[in-house]
Amino acid sequence: MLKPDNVPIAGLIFLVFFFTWLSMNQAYNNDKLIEAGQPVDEQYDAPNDKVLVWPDLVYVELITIVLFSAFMLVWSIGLPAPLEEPANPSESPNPAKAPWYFLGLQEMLVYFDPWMAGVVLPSLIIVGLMGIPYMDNIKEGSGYYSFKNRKFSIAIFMFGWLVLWNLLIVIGTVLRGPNWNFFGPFEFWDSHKIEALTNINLSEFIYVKWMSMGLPGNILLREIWGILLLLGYFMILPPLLAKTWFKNLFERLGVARYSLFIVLILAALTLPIKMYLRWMFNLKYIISIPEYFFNF
Amino acid sequence: MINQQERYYNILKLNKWFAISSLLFAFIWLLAFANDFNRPWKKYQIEFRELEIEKTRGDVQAASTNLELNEDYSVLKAQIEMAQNKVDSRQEEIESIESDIQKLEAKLYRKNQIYQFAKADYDVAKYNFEQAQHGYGNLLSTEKILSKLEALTSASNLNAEVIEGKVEAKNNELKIIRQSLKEANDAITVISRDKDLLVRKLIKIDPEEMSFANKIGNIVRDVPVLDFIDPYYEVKQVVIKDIEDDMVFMGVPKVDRCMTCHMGIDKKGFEEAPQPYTTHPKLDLYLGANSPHPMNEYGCTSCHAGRGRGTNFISSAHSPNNPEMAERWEEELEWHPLHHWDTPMLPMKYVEASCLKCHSNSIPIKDSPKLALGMTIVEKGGCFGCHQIDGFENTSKPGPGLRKIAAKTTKDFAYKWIYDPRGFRENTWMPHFFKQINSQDLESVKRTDQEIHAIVSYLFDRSESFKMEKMQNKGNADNGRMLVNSIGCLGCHATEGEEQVALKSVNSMRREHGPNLINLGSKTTQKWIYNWIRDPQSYHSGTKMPNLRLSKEEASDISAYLIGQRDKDFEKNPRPEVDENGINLIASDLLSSILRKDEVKARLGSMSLDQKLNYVGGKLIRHYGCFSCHDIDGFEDAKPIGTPLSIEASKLITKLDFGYFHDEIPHTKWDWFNQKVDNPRIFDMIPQEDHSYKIKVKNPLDKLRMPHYGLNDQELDAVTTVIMGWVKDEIPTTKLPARNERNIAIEAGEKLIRQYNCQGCHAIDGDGGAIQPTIASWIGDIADETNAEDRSIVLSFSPPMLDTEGRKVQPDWLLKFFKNPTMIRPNLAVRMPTFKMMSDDDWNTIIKYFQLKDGQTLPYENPHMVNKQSTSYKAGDVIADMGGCQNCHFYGNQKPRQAAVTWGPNLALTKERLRPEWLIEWFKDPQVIMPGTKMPAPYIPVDEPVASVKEVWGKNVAKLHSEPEKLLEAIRDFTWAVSGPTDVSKIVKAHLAREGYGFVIEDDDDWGDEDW
Repeated sequence: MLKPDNVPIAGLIFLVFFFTWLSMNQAYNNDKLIEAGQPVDEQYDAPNDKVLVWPDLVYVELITIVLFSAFMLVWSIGLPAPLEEPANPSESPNPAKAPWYFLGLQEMLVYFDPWMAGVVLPSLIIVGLMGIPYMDNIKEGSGYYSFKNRKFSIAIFMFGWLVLWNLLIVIGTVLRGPNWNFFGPFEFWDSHKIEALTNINLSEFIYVKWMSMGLPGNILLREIWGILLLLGYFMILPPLLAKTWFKNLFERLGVARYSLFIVLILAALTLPIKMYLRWMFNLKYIISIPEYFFNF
Repeated sequence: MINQQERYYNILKLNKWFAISSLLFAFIWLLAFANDFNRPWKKYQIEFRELEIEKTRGDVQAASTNLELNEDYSVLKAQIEMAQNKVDSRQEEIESIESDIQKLEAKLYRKNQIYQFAKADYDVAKYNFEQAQHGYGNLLSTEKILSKLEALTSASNLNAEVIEGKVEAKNNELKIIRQSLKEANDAITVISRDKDLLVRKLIKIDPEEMSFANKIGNIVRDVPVLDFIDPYYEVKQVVIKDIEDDMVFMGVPKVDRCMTCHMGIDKKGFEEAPQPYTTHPKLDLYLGANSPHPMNEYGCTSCHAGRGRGTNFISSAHSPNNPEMAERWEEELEWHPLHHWDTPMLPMKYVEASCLKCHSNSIPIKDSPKLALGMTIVEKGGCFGCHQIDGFENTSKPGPGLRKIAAKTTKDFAYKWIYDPRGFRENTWMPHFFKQINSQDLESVKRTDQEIHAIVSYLFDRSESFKMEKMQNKGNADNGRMLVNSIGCLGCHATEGEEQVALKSVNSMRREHGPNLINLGSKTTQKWIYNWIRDPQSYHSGTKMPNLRLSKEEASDISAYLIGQRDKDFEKNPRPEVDENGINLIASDLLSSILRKDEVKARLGSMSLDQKLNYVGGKLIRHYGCFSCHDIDGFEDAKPIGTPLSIEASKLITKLDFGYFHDEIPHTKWDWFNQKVDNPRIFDMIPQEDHSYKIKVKNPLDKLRMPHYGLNDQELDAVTTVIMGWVKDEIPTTKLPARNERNIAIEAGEKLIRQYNCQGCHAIDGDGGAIQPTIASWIGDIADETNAEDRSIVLSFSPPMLDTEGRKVQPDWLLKFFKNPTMIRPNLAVRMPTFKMMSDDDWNTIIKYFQLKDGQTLPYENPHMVNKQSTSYKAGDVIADMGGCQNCHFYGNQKPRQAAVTWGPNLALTKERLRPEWLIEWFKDPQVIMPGTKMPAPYIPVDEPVASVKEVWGKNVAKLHSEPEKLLEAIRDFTWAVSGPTDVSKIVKAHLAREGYGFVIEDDDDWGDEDW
């Protein structure tokens, strides 16, 4: 982890912890203030809460710039950027890793078809992030940290951020080695290590393993189970949830917002679900239609 | 007034933080400068400067001492002192002259100025006048002014010139006074020029010798920030635009910065200095300005590889020579291999590898003995048979042909031989295919036995018949031994009882051109040997062995001798029975790749044992690649089975399979190649803690199959050097040796000479003559040790040296001789073989080689004519008579007067064989052309007075006496005219039978003084 390449990742882990703590600390403090009936820290009442640009804003920024530049200078001299061999098209590095900010997506590639993991899901992530302001119509807890008023949002965000994004980055950096095999943190990266990839599709599970017959020739017939499962997941589950656990949410959000929200959240949950299914049952694809390049 | 309440932060605290952060930042900037300034190479340059200063001081000292000892110097110094004194004594005079000159010069300045101004005014007046003539202005007044000014101009000019003359005269006076001083000074400058240059150099580099201003400059120029202008300590580099480093997507010009630390590498005088300042060895060959590889044309990494742009020890990718050196470097210099550089520096023991990429056409390359040895091993070992290598496309297969094997040997011998070649013949070039490290387990051993049975079965089954002549008698083995030791077999072959050479060289390997003739009794029959040596081409048309023109008797004798030795132990080696089950196993393995299990069974059931044996044998021959070295029926078009090696050294190291040997051998290309050639199949094994091996799980047909050559360390070094030389670098023609007619002819000739091993017998330009030690022992046999140790006697019985052959012989005679060798030197027992397999093309290549190498470029020359009535011929007659040429030389069929041990070539051959110009060269000093020859330089009476010459030598010699060249021509002309039969073999034979060679043998005097 001390190689110049990986120092930022190590630093990132600390920074993630720090900022998570910072925000949660702020949320805790705010909650206490709310209970005491006082305004929260982020409360801004013009003009009393105005501060002068100089020195309060800019002076501090100046000092920060100077300190930060000093830090960068020390870093660049102490940990010089590594110079590896000249790029050679006939010699791919093993493992060939994406930049750290894409390692989460690269990890998804293990479980999902590239179309899903590389196009559909990242687009949904971006759409989701863009849509948060439109879906989030809670007046309380808007503009300041708070657990009390923001339990659900914080939970979803922490899950999506810390687990689905950061954790996968850490795994991709430290625990994935040659051939994208899994290696323990201190295990030697043996590029000759061989793992058997014996994963099978849902259709094969059902037809070949359970019903002991060959796969049907007709694609629709073959993949009907997966298709039904998926449709149920996205079309039956939401109304069910609206009637039961997400009742309050549904009432608050309304149909449009709720639909968008539930689809996004369910799509995000497909990743951990798929991971679990892969680890426990060696499940490869729920729907597998290689003839039309569609695998889920 | 600033209200503190308005602030969000405490301004004083902010100020404090600002101060701290700024100071910190400034300090870190200083660190950054220091980090940039403290380069490791500066330390080396500083140290080298010390060395250079010390050396220059020493040189100055030496030069001074030399000057002191020089007589002229002290004389001149005295002269200078005298002259100086004289000048000093006239000091007053000089001063007065100088003050005069000063005054005169002031005057001159004034006069000159007047003149210049007058001239300017004159020009104005001229203009005005001309304008007036044109109609603008008063003609009369302008003309008057013009003429007035004209007069003034010339007058003032004259005045100025007068003063100038006076100044010059005064200066001359001074010059005269100082004349002798100046002359003496000039003379002394010439003598002390070397010392002056050294002193000047010292002033430039030694701070103690510098003037004060320069001392300051010396410090300032290397100060941080200012050292961008003209530092003393700077990175030194050489940019070679023609040669490119391959960066995959493009080539970049080679830039070598090695001389930044290796400051003394191209400077004479640092041969004893410690590294990295040591001078490069052989500056006249490498790096010198007049060498074939000047530093600014080839740099360093062209030969040494490495990362030329690196400026410290590690980033330039230095490689240690051995593990001990690696350890020392790790300790002393914190060395580690540069991980991401694909072409690390060649360790010194492999540095000759780089010669190959430019000089691949001239093997052996002079001054690269290790590379030459390696290439010879590659040729002998036949690496190019299994591995396709550029440059070896037309090389013939190194092993004997196996098409008629049934006529030569038995299945029993063939089996035992294939099983363990070196058990029969220690220095055979056939490698071991069986009994290897990856087939030691019991199953593999049993399988091996059957595999060999199969191969032998195939070979014998396909063997063609060979019609053999019957021998007339059994032959005399003793005679055979003498023949083998004398007629020249030992130029290409060794026989039993020879000591193995401790250190191999290209020359020692010339006697491995053919197999070692040991223990042939166990291998073949006398009849076969008889037929082979009578006509090798009849058994194997592609053989390299020439025809020795043996008579039937000689062949019987030789074959009797060779068949006499047997290796009884080898004959007793076990030969297990053919096991049908074992054969079935191998056959089913082979068939499984194309048939299903049940089909395999059916097919095997339908084949007889012999058919199975032959099938398996054929497949195994293809599997093991036997056809790569041997001509085998059915494998004429078979392709090489091994990895192509033409650019093996340019392979990325990740493409070499270290297997489980990542920790056992260093992670470098050369170590992998070394290990592979040393024990090729070891990469199938898994090394254990206790230095034993376990084998990887592998099917028999998937196991590594490169055979084991049993090379020693010296040979391994040489072969690894060659492999490291096989790179894909493209060298521009400007950097290659010129492809002119001469070079191309020499390359083509050398190739043939290597192919047919001419230098096994003949020495050419100091290299070759491998047979000579065996001639010495033969002489020791027939005469005694003293004679055997006499170099000129050994040389006179050896095949002749071929230096200057191109200038020496007439080309058409040479061609005739090649195609049908005849006797030239009557005393030689060695005979030039007939190379029936060489074409006229080949012979012409060799003749052209000699001619162009030796500087004879005329393809057609007039025959030399001699008039027997001429002075030249008659003088030559006398000189030859006085010189006793007939003591040693045949004149046609007139025998020489002395014993056979002194004999030289038959002079009747001269006119058809030799070139007239060469004879003159030869007569001038034979030792220059053939060092060690017993021919003396003919005596010509150049130093004797004409009168005695006329009296003793006759008038013809006296006529030519004044021109030594003409005297030599006279001898030449006489020799030219010697006539008579050139074939005197019968006379020679009779003489030798009767009187022998006539060696002078010192009897051991066993009559002590007491016995008298």
